[in-house]
Amino acid sequence: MTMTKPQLSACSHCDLLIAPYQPQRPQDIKHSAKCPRCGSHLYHKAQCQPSTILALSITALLLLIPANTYPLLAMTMIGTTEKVSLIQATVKLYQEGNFFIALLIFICSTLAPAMMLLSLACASYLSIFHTQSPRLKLFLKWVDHLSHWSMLEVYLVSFLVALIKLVDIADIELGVGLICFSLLMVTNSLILTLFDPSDYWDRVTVNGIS
Amino acid sequence: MESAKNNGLARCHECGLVCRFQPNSQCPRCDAKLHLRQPHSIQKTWAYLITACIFLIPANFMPITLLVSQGKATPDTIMSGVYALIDEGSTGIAIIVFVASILVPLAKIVGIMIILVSIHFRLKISHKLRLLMFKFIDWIGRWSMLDLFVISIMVAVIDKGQLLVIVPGPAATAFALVVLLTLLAAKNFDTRLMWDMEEDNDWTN
Repeated sequence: MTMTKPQLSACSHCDLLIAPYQPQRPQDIKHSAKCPRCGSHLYHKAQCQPSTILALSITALLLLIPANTYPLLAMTMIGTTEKVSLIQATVKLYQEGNFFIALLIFICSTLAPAMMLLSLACASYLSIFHTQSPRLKLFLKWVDHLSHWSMLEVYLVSFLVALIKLVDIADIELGVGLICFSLLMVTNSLILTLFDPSDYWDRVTVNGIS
Repeated sequence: MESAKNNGLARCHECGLVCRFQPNSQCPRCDAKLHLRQPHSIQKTWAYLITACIFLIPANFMPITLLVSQGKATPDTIMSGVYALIDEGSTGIAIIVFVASILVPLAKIVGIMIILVSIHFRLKISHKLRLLMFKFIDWIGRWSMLDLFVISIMVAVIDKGQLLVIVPGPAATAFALVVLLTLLAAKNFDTRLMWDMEEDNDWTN
């Protein structure tokens, strides 16, 4: 297997072959580029180090635990109070016999975000300390696949919709879980904006080429 | 303006490395199997879309939730839920739910079908416009999950045994399948196919 020109790139949306951009002066270095044919976003150079991503993803992973287990809200209705956490909401659906919906919701709201953050933390750690590790490639692929199924922001908006539906029929008290979940969503969005997969891939050593 | 494919080069779908393409070869950087285009992209996308179309019917006409109060069940479809929200005076939320659960799945299916048909019949539609439409469809698709999340929260919170219970109806599973299938359809569609057909023509349109 031989590589042609290592710097050559292609647009992921229209397959246009793009020659490497070589700025003469350091102030000419661009932080992002668009495909001249289809206008798609080509790359944005990382504005932060993998260590920043590592720190942020550990923060998010820590927030993930209370966000999932602490109650999102407490609802008082007909004399009794019901406290519900994110995990309980999924488990209840499963107990009602809706295995498929429960699984889909579990993947999108808990499993995919957790696995994505974990893979990203591992990938960041390896790209700082062990760029030779074959696992780095594996984690980077996982991050890409899992980020499609992580839907934290959708869940937060859904929660607000449910809240408006409930507020007329019962007394609602917001829980600690909601604060953690909101913080988790903000951290997650920040990570997705700062994380640049091509920067990580450039650190991976290519077979046969030093 | 030439594509990588015309130069015998393939962009790895996993890591983005551009390398020389040989059949059954692997990416030298990430070991993924190399493809010039996603294999069977159009067939897979059609299959997911047609299945989604079929499930769209029960998703919209069967009850998505059942409100059981003292032994009496009140079924609610997606549309009646939207009407109920308008009656309560929360028109803004009604619009969000209507867009996320009725408009988006339908627009997604129709939108991707238009793109597939235009590729098949080589229709002269602006490539940039089509790509923009696809990107929008791809981005907005995940918001269809909204209604399912709302149901899961409502089911968990309103549980008073004999007095008042909310149970997901048969449409909930159908709706979940529609969302899942349209997400997979968008994921399996290779946008590069749109640009392949007019490679030699003027690309500025």
